[in-house]
Amino acid sequence: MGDELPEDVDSSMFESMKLVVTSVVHAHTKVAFKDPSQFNIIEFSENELLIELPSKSYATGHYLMINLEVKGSKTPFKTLEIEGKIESLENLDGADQIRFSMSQFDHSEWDKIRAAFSSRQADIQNFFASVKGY
Amino acid sequence: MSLDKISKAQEEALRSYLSTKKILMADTSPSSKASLHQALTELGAKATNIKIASSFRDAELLIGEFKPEVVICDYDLGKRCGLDLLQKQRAEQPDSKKSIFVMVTGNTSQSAVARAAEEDVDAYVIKPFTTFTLRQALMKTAMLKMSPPEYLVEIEAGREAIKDGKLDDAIKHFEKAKTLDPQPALACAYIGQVNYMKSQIAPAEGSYQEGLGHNKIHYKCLVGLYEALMGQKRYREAYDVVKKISNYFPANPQRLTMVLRLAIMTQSYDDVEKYYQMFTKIDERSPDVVRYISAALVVCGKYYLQTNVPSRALELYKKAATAAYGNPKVLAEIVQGLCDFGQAKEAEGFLKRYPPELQKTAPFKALEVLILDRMTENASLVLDKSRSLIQEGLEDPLLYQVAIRRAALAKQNDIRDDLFYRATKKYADQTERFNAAKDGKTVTGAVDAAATPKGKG
Repeated sequence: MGDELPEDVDSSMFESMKLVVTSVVHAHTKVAFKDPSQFNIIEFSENELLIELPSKSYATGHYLMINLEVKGSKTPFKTLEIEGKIESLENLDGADQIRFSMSQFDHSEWDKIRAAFSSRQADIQNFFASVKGY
Repeated sequence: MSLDKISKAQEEALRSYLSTKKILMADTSPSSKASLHQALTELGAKATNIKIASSFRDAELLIGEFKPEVVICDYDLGKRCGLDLLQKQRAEQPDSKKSIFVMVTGNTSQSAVARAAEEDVDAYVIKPFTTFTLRQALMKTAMLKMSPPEYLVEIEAGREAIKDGKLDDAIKHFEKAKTLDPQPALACAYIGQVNYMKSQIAPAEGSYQEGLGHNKIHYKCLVGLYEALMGQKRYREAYDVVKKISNYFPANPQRLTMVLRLAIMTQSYDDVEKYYQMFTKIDERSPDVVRYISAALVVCGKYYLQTNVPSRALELYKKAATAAYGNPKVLAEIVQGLCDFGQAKEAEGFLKRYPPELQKTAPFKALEVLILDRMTENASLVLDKSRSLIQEGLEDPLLYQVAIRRAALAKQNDIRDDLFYRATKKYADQTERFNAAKDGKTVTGAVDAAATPKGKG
């Protein structure tokens, strides 16, 4: 990691790579959620997302079409279009949390996105080890 | 989500560790808190030992009351940075072997990561995370605390010896540590620190360099080397080191003030604008940082005026004025600098940025007169205007300077002498300027035999 760091100040050092939801549409009613920026991806796995969203937006069993984009990355990513289902919903204080199972999506693009975040995490761990010396 | 890369033994060790720990989670996201809570309890933490804070303020209070051994927080907590909780936790739990501070955050920027690393946060997990990643980070951190490698045991023994004032013992521990790791940059850093404490600067420097040979971004070695060089007044070399630190760790506002100061001291004017770019990116802009950046830009602007590159000077002055949020002292420096170098027209533009509520004050009126002085050929107008303001009670050394100079050029020696006497009595520390004015000179030393030059565009 140390070898890859710039010798000069790079303003991209202040940019944060984020996985953002850019569109949410109810698969059956075709109604789009007005402000998808209120959706936050908390966890992800191979075919599931844990998402925080405004309370009372959806219910368990709903089918949704979600678009994801990666912002703030030097590597360009395509918009990932996902069809899936809300497997469970939990009411929290001030928001809901859903487990969203992904059924139809571009697997290779999703693998690339997950790999990018894994790679960033690994870079961070290596950087920490270098800076601290253990 | 498979756990097959974490052994059962490690899982049990982590469970045992977490089961006795008080844990604070600080995150503004309800879902993050819920997810982390679940992960922690699955890993062995007791729900009754977990407190949750939704804001920085709540977290701060809970650290004081609850005294958690483990803090897991987001980097961004509303308007505050989660890192600011770290010092609070360290105050409550000074034994770092017994406490853990982990960031779990959507802020993946290198600047935030670097800031966390330099503050010695234990781990940094980015969102969205996988359960495995979170567990792995907690596992690694807890294992380092529960069963540190021999290298870190010796390092810790050395640190304790330093605290007890036993510096020679400390060195022995660190020297032994060096044999226990293939890249012992941390041990080298501590040897450097002990040597520095013993005022053995050359060996200290050598140790830091040795550490950097193992690891060129080792933070303690970089900072130690910087301090050693500064202590020896080797400013050019210190500047090279602090530049490197700034490049690797750009988000530290305190460091920005250090690097700016050295940039000016070493006349590295071309670098200052780069640090201005850094300044525009950082969130924390303390009054100190603002003061340093605007002062540095003003000094650079003056340099470019002196070297006859007025367009460059103007760019930097604009940035200085913006950075200073209209601070009248900064604007005054800019206006005077521009007037001194024949750029009075441009100076007018900066004067317009003066806060409206201060536009009847003596310093503002003095600057107006200065610009008039540089832009008009009507000598008596300038003299009358400045004397009139002085008589109204709007006294300012600049007004005296302009009036004295104009009186001298108009050969009105009685007026000149009277003003000179009054000025030096009131502002004795500026006698040199008044002397120059008495000879018809501006502060740059330029002599005006006739009308002043008009401001140039």
